[in-house]
Amino acid sequence: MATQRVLPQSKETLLQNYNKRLKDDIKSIMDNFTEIVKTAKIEDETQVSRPTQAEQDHYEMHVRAANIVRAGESLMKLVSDLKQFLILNDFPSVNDAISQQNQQLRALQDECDKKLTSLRDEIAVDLYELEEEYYSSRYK
Amino acid sequence: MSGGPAVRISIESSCEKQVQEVDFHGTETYVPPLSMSQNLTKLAQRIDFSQGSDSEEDGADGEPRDREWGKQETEEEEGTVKFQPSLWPWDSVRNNLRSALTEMCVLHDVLSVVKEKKYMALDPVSQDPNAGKTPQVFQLISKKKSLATAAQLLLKGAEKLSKSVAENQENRRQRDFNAELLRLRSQWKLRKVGDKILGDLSYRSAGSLFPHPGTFEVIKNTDIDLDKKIPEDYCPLDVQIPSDLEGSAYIKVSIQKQAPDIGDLGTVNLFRRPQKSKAGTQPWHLKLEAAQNVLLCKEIFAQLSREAVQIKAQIPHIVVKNQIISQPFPGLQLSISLCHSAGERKSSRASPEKPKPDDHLYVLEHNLHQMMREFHKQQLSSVVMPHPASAPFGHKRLRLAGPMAYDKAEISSLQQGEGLLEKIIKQAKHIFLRSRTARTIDSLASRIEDPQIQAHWSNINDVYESSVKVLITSHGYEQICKSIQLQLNIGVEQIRVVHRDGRVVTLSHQEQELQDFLLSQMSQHQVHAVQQLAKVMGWHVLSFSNHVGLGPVESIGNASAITVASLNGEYAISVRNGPESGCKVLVQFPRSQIKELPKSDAVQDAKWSQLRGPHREVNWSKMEGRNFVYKMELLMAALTPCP
Repeated sequence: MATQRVLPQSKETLLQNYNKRLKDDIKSIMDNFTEIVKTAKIEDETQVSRPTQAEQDHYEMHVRAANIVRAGESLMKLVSDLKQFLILNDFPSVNDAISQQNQQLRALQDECDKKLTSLRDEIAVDLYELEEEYYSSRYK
Repeated sequence: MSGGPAVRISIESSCEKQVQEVDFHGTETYVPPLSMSQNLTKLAQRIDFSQGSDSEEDGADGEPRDREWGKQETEEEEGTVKFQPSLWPWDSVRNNLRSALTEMCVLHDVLSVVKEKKYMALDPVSQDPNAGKTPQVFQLISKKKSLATAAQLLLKGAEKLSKSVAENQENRRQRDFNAELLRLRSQWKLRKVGDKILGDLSYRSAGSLFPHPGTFEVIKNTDIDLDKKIPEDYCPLDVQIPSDLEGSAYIKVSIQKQAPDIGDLGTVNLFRRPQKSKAGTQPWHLKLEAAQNVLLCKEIFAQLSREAVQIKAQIPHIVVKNQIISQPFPGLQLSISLCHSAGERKSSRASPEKPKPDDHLYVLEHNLHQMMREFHKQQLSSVVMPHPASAPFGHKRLRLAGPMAYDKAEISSLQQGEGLLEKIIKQAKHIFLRSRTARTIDSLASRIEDPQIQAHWSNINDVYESSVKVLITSHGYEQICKSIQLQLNIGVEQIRVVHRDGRVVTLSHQEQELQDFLLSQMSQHQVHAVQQLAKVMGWHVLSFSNHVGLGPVESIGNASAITVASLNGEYAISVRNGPESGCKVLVQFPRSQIKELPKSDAVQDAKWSQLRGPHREVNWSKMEGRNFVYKMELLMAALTPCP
């Protein structure tokens, strides 16, 4: 799109929000992964007792892994949000669809009108004969 | 400069040695240059050992050094300048020296403490190999375990993601939510409000003024197990419509009368048949269309009821719940009702109420819809003038009143536009009048066989006007008996009858008037037919009158009469035909054929016997022949002498 359309304020902030979400999520993935790797390092000196430390590390890794997954899901959500945003705000294509539908319906209308007119004419001719026959028959 | 004489400048290196003193006689005494070792010493002197390289070392071994090297520090403090440690040439040397010193100090302290044996005793170290390694292994195992769980979690997440991605790319594109949404978007108005996607199914953009919001919500259909087989009619997109727009609705227009004389207006039930979904139509589309239809029906009904209350009619319109009752003609009741069945199949209106299957006026129902759309279209004027967006601008057509210089009458005619209800009542009146006319003509045609009535309905009609051509003929004599051709223009309140010769008669909506008129026309037809026949048969018309002033008075119209004479003038036939009294045929014979002719004294001459004598009535019902004209033809033939 070469022509930059002027977006309203709310749209602008929304788009910026999407951008921010993207950066946040990627940063979250990155940070959490780094932290997991850091935590994996064996340290010698700890103030707390080893089982506690192990438990803490275990829990931390768990949470960080979950965070990565969450960020991934959030990215997927972002993708779907972006799609929705595009679908809902893509007015040129909507206008195209409307004009196309309009054209189709008009064609249909013309066709129907033509058919109805010819049907009316045929029926009128037949009706005339039938009326003639009916009124001159005995069975009325 | 280049042209000047060359000046010789001798450069001598400055004195490298420092001048120690200058004697009175001018002899300078130089300080001898430092030797290598002296230089080293000088540099070494400038090392600031007191300044710690590491801050933590300062605190740890500050005290022993103070004690041991206290004297030296005091000496050095005067001579040394504060150097920045990083600029110090021998920084590493100094640091190493310092750490060596620290170690030595610590060793010294430990040794001194151990030597005392007062505070500390030395014990042999137990040689347990596990003691040192256990924590490491434990840590390793625990870390490994933690990593494994984290990895598992990540894998699970990744699998889920890849599954959802793969699902999108599967060939079931039409099952995709976004594809459906795109399709929905191309046909309906959608917008995003917060997390929800709201749509608009009202006709507001088409010009409707109905205040119903008409919003629906688009929801993603997620209550399906992706691993199982997906049913065919599954659609990932679903719409939620407001509860008051659910189900199906239609406007029912019917005309009720005590006598079931117009029962055949509308025979088939079109609306309540379950709609068959076309192939390729999404379920949401059907749902939305149904909801939109409900909305339109509601709008129509609201408009009608508003008008019904506002309009001051002679017989006030009654609005009861979902029904509007009006009386277009005396004894006739037009009811417009809104039928809205909320459930799937069940009709909200109980069916035992109406034993008759259907008395819908589908044409009117359709017209109501059409008029509503026209009303919408009127609101959306094609010429949109610049107008303030914040305030109403009055009636759009009224804006033109100024530029076009309308006068008062024109403006008032703009303002009192005909309402929906008035239009529909007029149409109903017309439809009723038309069907009643048709029934009248048909019943006459079936009741009276001679003469024949033929009705030919025009195929070009208006909602307020239609026409029918009525021919009155005699069977077998259509070609010669074409005298009566009537054009009936059926309007809203009255019927205009146009004769063949251009006479116009206006009849009211009363059935009897039309019937009487047709009966009188039929009676006239018979006499006309005799006239035509006489021409064909070569008889002479002696007299002809459409409206005879003599004889018994008819209750409907007037009797008509004709007298025709045979070619040679011997016989004459007189016909008198009245709509009520029927026909009376008299034959006049020549005097010569009458035996018991009273002898007259005055008329003695034989030539007078050639005159026609008295009339004798023909027993018409005993005559042979199918119909009146045929009988008449036979009679004429019988009275015509053979050549």
